[in-house]
Amino acid sequence: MNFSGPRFRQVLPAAALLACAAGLAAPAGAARPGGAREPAPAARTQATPTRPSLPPLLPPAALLEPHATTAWPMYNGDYSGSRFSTLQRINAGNVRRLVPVWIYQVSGGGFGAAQVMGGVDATPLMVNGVLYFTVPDHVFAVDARTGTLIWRFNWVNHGGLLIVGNRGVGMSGNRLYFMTPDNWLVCLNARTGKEIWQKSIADPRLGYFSSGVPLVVGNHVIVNAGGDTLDLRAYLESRDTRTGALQWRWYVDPSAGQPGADTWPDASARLHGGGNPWVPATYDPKLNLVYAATGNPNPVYAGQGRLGRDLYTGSLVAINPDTGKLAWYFQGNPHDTHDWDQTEPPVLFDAKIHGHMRPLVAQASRDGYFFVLNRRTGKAYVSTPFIPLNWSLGVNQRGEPIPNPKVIPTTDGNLVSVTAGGATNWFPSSYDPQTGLFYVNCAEGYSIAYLQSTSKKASGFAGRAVTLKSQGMLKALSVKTGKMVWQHIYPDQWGEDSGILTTAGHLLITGDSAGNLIAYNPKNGKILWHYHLLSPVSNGPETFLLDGHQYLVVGAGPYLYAFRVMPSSGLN
Amino acid sequence: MGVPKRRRAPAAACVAFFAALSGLLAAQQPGQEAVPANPAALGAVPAKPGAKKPVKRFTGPFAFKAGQPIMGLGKLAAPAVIASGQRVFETNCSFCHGADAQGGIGPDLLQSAVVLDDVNGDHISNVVGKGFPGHMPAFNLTPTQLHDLAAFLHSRVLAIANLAHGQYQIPFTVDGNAAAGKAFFYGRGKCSTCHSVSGDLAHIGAKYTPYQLQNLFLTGVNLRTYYGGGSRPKQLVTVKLRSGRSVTGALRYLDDFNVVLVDADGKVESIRRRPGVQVTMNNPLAAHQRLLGVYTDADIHNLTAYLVTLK
Repeated sequence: MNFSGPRFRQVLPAAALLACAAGLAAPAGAARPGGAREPAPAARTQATPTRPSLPPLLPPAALLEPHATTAWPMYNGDYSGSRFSTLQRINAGNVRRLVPVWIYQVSGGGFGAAQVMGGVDATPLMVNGVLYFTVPDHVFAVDARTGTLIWRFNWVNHGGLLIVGNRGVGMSGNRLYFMTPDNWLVCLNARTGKEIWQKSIADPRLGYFSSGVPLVVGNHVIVNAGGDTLDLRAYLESRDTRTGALQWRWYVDPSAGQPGADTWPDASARLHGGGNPWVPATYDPKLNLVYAATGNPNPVYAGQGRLGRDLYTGSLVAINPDTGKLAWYFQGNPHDTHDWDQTEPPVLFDAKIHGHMRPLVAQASRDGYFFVLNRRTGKAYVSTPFIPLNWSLGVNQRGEPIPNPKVIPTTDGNLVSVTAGGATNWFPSSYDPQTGLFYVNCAEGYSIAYLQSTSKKASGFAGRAVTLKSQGMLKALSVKTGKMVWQHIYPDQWGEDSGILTTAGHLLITGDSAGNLIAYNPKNGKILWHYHLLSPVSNGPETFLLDGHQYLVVGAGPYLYAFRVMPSSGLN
Repeated sequence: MGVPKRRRAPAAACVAFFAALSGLLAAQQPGQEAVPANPAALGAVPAKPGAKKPVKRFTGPFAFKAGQPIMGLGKLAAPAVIASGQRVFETNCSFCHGADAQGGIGPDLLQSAVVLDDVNGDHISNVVGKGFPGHMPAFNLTPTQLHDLAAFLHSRVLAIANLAHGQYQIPFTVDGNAAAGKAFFYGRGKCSTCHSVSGDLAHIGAKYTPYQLQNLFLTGVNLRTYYGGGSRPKQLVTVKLRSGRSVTGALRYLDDFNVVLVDADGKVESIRRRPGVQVTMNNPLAAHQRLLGVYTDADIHNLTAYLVTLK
């Protein structure tokens, strides 16, 4: 593929700054047609390795630690995705004295390449007193004690969609891994923010764009490109942590003759079948399996040209990170025609089911089903709706939902008892081993789904859904039965977009759509504390220990907040 | 680990920039990308001499606009250039590549590396001029025709991409039974409790397209106003205080901890939701929302068919 786009980190010329000041928002780099073809970027292949004398900020072994306390070394805090912290210095007894110690604002003062769009969807990593986080096109390193900027990396984007946000960076040793909206995997020196190498993983001209967070497992950086604007073949791939070289690529839409290929009517539908696994993946070091959730098939709302189950779209897949081979799959959203994916991060934990401790993976899916599976085999223990829904006729022998063929988008509109956005979305859920409950922010409601094209060769979205009613809720689900144990109905009717953190301090922390950061009792949903932020929570809250103090850090639109418990003597 | 100084821009420049930016953002919905308001200012390809002033082709919330680089394809050409390219395509190419360029007996051009790598016709010229022996004949086109053909194909890629963002019409058909819709209106739907076909709904079938009408009664709000930055329908709230006093007004803010309302005199009341304080919402959409659990698809399509007759 002849793809030579301009992707240099750009030093801002004064002219660009002035152009921006005049309100023109000039693109910082030359565009292709109309501008000159870009020279082959030879310079960027020149690696600038970190000096070997520097000790690794994040030794690879530290990534294996469950429930890390003195660091938040990856997107979910650890590989499990449970977002449960064993820290209890902030607890139900003192949470009322939680106060912000600093606020960092990512927008403002940015021009041209430095201009910021989107809020903090990323969950910052915290390693050695430094927070590393992103917004689309930008990486920030900020001092965790003071909120002071240490360095910032600005990317010149050439066509990747920014609207989708960015979930953050992966880290190993002294290196950070960042996905740009136009699908470049960029390796940065964590100490300096200087680029070490960059690799294109997908062509933005085909409609791929990236919002994901790289998952580092051993010497693998596992990444994907997203995008369902056009009808693409989706994949998950692994790159070498040191060189960025491709190690393997696993296609969501299987090759001819491979298992799953017969769930598509023809090669054209299959090879343009979409299903990008855009949600941050999780990992079980013992079983050596990566758990990824795949997206919706394409064309999005038009299923008539891709009749069948459309494997492995809308599925939870377990993949060996060394080989890229599929160990098992569970299709929680077969033949999706509503843009629901099977998103929400897969959450890994062990719990007693039918009298035995079992390795589990749980997921509250955007199609409204809650799944608890054996993470070694994919066997379903729980597969039950967590909101009322009309699109499914029940489940098959494997526990996979059976879609109702009458609840599909039509040109005159088809009523669906799930909102257009789905029951929930990418924002992280949490499992608290102290309560045995799984927590998810979700919405109940209705939508009407329209079909734009009745052609078997429909393209892109090929339809739309309009939300007719939505009620935002926080639900606590039993992982044994899938039944709701308690729920908090938000006063605002719209769904909340906040992630969830639970801690051994008997706290559940999340946000509401009015902008409150709220601490609940995870046993019963009683509210213990709240603080009104400048913008609603836009990421998953995190916590860590630094200098003996437990911090709570949360993203709220363009702001990042750090909280600590105010001692009776005041903050020092 | 050095801490670089924050860059400072001249204050006046900052003010001008944020004034321009806030103007752009004001018209936007949450979660949307800022798009330049004036494509010409970005150096859009100028229209041919004598051509009409470029018309905004792609509109709406997420639309890619003329002059906006997107998906690495560069800038969208002027409509006149695209239209000229479309004529070239229809005459020479559509027979094999399909009327929409998405493939026929020939390949889908919108996912073709030749098209995606092309700059102003350079790659396309090669293929069109030489053909593929055994697959595609050579065509003798002028440089202008090739340039315009490329512009047309690039615009098709963008148009397909825009499908993702609502830039198309639903081929909505009124296929319900108007008489059954009327029966629902006066019977099971209880619509006539609040609405009158000679009063508030008079001529409503002439004011909206059938598609708009259907979404209007399903939600109870005019989506165009609603999503176009218009306010939600006024929601009345009554708060009974612990003293026994009761205040009613338009809801301004509500969360689990506070409620803010504006009373009939325009006075803003900010009330803490302590135990004993009762908040009662008067949801103006309640009747419409209740029906969502009642409707069958046939009820919806019948009701639309009836409302369409209210010209």
